[in-house]
Amino acid sequence: MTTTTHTRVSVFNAITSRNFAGILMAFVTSTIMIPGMTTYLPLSASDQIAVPILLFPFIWTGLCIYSYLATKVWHAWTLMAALTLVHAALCYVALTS
Amino acid sequence: MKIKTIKKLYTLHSWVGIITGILLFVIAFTGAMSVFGRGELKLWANPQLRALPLIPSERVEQLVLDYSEKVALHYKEEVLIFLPGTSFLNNLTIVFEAHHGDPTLPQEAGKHNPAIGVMFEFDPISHALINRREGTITELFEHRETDMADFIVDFHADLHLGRPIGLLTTGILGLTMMLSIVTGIFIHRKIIRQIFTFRPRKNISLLLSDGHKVIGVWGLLFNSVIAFTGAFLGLAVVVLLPAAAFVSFGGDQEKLVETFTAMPEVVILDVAQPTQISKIIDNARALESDIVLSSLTIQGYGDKSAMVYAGISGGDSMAGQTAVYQGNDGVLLKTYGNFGRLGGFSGQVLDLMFSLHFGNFGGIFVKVIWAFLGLGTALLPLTGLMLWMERGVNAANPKYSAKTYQRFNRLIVGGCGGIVVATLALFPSQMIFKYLTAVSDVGAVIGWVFFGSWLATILWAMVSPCEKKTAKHIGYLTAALLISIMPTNIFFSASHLFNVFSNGHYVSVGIDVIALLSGSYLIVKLKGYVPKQPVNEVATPLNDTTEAI
Amino acid sequence: MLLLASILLIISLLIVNENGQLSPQKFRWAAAIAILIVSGILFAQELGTLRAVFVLLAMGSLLGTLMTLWQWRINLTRS
Repeated sequence: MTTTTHTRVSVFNAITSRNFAGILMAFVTSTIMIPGMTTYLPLSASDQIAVPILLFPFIWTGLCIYSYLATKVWHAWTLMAALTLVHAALCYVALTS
Repeated sequence: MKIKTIKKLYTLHSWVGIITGILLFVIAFTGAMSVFGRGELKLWANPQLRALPLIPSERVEQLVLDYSEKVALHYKEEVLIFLPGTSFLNNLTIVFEAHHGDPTLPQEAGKHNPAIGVMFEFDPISHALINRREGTITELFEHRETDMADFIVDFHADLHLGRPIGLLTTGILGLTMMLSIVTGIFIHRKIIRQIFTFRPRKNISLLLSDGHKVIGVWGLLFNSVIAFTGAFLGLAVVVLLPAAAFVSFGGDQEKLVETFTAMPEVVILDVAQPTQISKIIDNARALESDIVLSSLTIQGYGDKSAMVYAGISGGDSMAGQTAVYQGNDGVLLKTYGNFGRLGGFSGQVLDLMFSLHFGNFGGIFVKVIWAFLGLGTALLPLTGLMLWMERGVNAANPKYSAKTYQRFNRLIVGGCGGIVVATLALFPSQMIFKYLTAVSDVGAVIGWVFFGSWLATILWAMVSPCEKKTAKHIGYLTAALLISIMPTNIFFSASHLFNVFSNGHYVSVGIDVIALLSGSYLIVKLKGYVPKQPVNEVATPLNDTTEAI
Repeated sequence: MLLLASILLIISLLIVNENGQLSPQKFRWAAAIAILIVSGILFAQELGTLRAVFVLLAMGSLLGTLMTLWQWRINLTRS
């Protein structure tokens, strides 16, 4: 007698890592990008503050979706780490100059 | 787009919906009610504000003059006037504010003591003094009288969890809603072709699937605006502004807000000249045909250099505006949106945020549209949850046990049905607390009724023998509460259909009639509802064997 | 004016709805867009241009939803 086992094939690999990336890291990255963007956007003083704030929801949504769609999860982590570090560095330079 | 990508998006869309669905329904439903929060519901909850005649401008000027003599000199730095029924305050309110705090107290170098004030509240009809309070400005406005309308609006804004938790929660919910919308667009490839497709008579699965798609596709633009503005409004104060202020203002968000929005301080000339409050009020009210004047801020009251800032809404502008007047002669200098005056394009976008979110830019006509679309926003996660359950239960290889699906079903019935019951229970509770108890701040105690009835409904749904019957009973309870709104109003305010033309209480009687009709319609629908047996066509997920994470 | 604008909006939606599907006929689309523009102009005259844009989109969403959900009752489709 043969038995058939149904196995569920997961749509995502490394789901825990993707969850952390998509939910937590995306939020941190998007938040740090706000003050970072105020240092380089070629806009008026008020727009330099307001435009990053207005872009936040779109940035978070994009990063979150990418976290789940990226072929390998380390791609998403690398991208967000790079964005975070670059914008944090821009903030540091702006604050210390 | 590859099939695997679509599957990933579908799974993401499903899980975001499952996790946030009930809370999204709660926020969206209370949001649909909040559209009427600052106007119509306030009138219903406070009969003394209905058909309120415009306060004569001379009366306001005289009251400010009379009571300015009852406060110390430093309180005349700034005078705030709030007209009743047009703002969040029910009574005519005059606040004399010492913006830089008590000058007799020691101040740290470079810092000001907190702003303090004396608040006088006057009856909106007789203009007799009701109340006098002193304290910091924050305390004065925090401890104001509130009602069911304020309760609903505040619940929608932050779930009554306060800052930062409440605002963070609703803001993040806005973000997840954006995520659901974007993933929903990508997975529904036939999005435009099926815009008119609705097959309710086939089976439950197709009814839910088509219903979810119809509401989602037609409401796409509206839901996108709501999600974006909701995320912004929720996160602005707790995350976005502090982040934006980090580099430019050392993280001091108050300084950022002050820099960009504060009224410039007047230089007191010490030349006494009466401030033309009456003339300014008349001018502001007449600026355009449907202008509503809600507040005045006077800097340098009684001095030649006085400036008056009038808060107005309506007219040509979609957003609220400020009209600036020279205080000594009442000449209009300019009008501007709160952020639009800063220059750049983002100011105009910021000005629209609140108006677009609450639909309060075009009178009752637009509010009704926004409320209906808001109910659609609430039905979207609900139909999605029901669809997920339906597919899960009927799948060849269900991921979870039947008991798990049943428990989740009960939670949906209790959570979603409960919030409807709790919101409608506010109506009779408002009148009972206002007229039959000694409670002055109804909003402070009405929460017990709201959260109590919500919790009771959830518990009832979780323990009842049959959740389908419970759902029907909750429906009947909802209908009963709707029908009870009219007799409640008649009993406590003697305002009804037969005297509406004489007393002019069109708004509150309109609410009564709509509630009565809605409740009656609901009863008819519930009586006639017979669950149908599934026939042939079944809405299928993308691929049953690969839908699990 | 608002009522007329709303009625025109409903008519334009009815025109593009062909038996429960989005009509492929260009003539129908041309007629619907023309009527939609007139509706938009009427909204703009009553409410102002910027308001009219948002109201038109919102009304279109609402009426489209209601029409689609009720079309099986008012026999807009042959099922």
